[in-house]
Amino acid sequence: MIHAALALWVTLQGPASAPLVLDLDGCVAAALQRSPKRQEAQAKVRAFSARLAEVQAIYTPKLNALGYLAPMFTVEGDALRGVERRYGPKDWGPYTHFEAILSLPLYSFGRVEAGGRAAAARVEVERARVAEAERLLAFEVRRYALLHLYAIGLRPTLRFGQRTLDAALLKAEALYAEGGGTVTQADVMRLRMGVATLRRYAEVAEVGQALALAALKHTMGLAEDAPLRLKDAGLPPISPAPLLSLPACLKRAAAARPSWRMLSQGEAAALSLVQAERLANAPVLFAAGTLAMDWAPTRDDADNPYHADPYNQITGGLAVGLKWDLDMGATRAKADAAQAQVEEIRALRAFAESGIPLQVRKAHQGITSQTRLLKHADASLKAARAWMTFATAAYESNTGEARDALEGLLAYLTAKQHHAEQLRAYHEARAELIWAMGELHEGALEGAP
Amino acid sequence: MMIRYTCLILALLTPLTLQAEPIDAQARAEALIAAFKAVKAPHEGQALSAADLKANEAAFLALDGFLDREALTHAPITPHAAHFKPEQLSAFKALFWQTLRLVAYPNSGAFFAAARYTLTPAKPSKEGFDVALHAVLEAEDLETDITLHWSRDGRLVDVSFDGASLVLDYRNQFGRVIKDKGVEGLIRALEAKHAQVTGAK
Repeated sequence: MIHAALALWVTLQGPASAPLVLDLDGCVAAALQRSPKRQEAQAKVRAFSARLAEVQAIYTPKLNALGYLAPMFTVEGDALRGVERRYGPKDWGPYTHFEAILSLPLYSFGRVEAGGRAAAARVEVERARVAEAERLLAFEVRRYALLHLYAIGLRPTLRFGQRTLDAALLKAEALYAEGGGTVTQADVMRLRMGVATLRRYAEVAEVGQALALAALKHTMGLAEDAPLRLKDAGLPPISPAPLLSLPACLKRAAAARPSWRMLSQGEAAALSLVQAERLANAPVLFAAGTLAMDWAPTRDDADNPYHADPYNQITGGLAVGLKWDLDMGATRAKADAAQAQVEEIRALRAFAESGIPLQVRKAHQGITSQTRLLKHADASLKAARAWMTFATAAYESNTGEARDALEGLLAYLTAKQHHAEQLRAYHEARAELIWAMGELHEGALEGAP
Repeated sequence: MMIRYTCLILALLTPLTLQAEPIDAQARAEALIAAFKAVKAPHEGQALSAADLKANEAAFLALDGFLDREALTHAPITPHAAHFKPEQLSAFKALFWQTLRLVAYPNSGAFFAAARYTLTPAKPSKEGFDVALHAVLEAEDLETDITLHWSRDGRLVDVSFDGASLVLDYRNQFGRVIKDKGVEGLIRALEAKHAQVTGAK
């Protein structure tokens, strides 16, 4: 019985929320699914698609109808015989009215077609904007994820440093207490300062990793308390795959970057809008049918065809017509505004023609430069590691100074931090190149060097 | 257990008896690492059990077979040998050798037990052969390049960490101590360390 109750309780509690464990590309994929920024951009696509449908609906038939029912007193007689009006309680009856106009625009001399082209191109602009938002989102997600990995990657080194310094301090304090002269007060204080400095670094790293994780979750569209964990325990090593050559990157950016589609479709939309606005003074050819009916039984029906009787009649007919909305000043102003948009987009295109290749070139050079700098950081780390190893060994064997051991350790920790910073800068440059090329995934960077 | 270690020692000494055959330095390096891993290291704040101490005796003996004792104890003081009296020289070598064993064997054992490493094929050197290995201690995010320098007869004569020779470092360290405190000062420092690791102090 108790087991059954416990089982039920466990079932009601539901499964424990398992942490979401993702690698860098996984974070990007999750962000593309959930991010409000992308959803906002997609909503704009829907809004402009609706506007396109509205333009396309101009050539569909439109029906305007009106009907009503009202009380009517009695009226007998006509204009030639004289009339008698009665308002007694039994003299009231219904008065009904119905009228309808069915119209069908047939031809707009190109205005509707130009408006349709403008709206369709604008939808494509918004679609390209979604793609651009996705790429920017991927870049931001990578940056925050790298920052988080950088901070958690320093943890083992800081732990190692703390452990080593704590042990060295214990030993130095014991030796100083013995008074043998091998350790000075300055050595002990130097070690204490080192211990405190490392604790500070550890706290800064913890705060940094938590902040970066919070920013990452926010960018991915996850709740602040969502249990997200990155698969890697630190920054990934330098990629062994050869980096795509700069000309190939430029070529790919010229083809894949959504900004180009935004600009070309934006220009097409603005040009069509100019055309549509210039045609705004042209008439619209339409066909229309109308029907009007009135019935009021308490009023005599006037059967004289020269006498209009608005209370008892049926009228209708079919027509073909032209409709003008002439407003020369406003039309010219709207066309000028649309032309200004065309010029603005052309200026943006000229800016992008030099700006996008510059972004690609800068990011590509960033990777090659960071790769070279990483080699120096590697050499520096290697030297600092050897310094620490030998200085610590000498101190441990009583043939070296505490100061040398401490300096070696601090040099190693500093070199390790510089190396991690360099590695982060290398990965950030890669993320920037992926974005500058208009791509989403790391694989886009691989190819013939 | 004893038979196993005796067999191991015999196996390790085999290259010495077959002088005509070139040694397989890489296999020798693998065997050295395995021998290091066999050393029992005490947990922090605890002493080794009697059984572990017994096991370590055999493990230490096995490791002795890999090291060129004369080269390792004499090379660090070669430029300073003239400062040593004969009795000081033998006292230094004995003390240094014992301290080296007591410190390096358990520490190396603990290191290789925790590290992930890859060996590269042996390359001929002036003394014999060099075997390089890249070791990674993931828990501490520590990577290091170690080179084992073997003599032609298959004995370890030096170790380099990230390209820096341990023997050369000892030579300079000891030179500095001798310059500051004399040979007696060096021996006293080593005695203090020996006493510390044996628990005599």
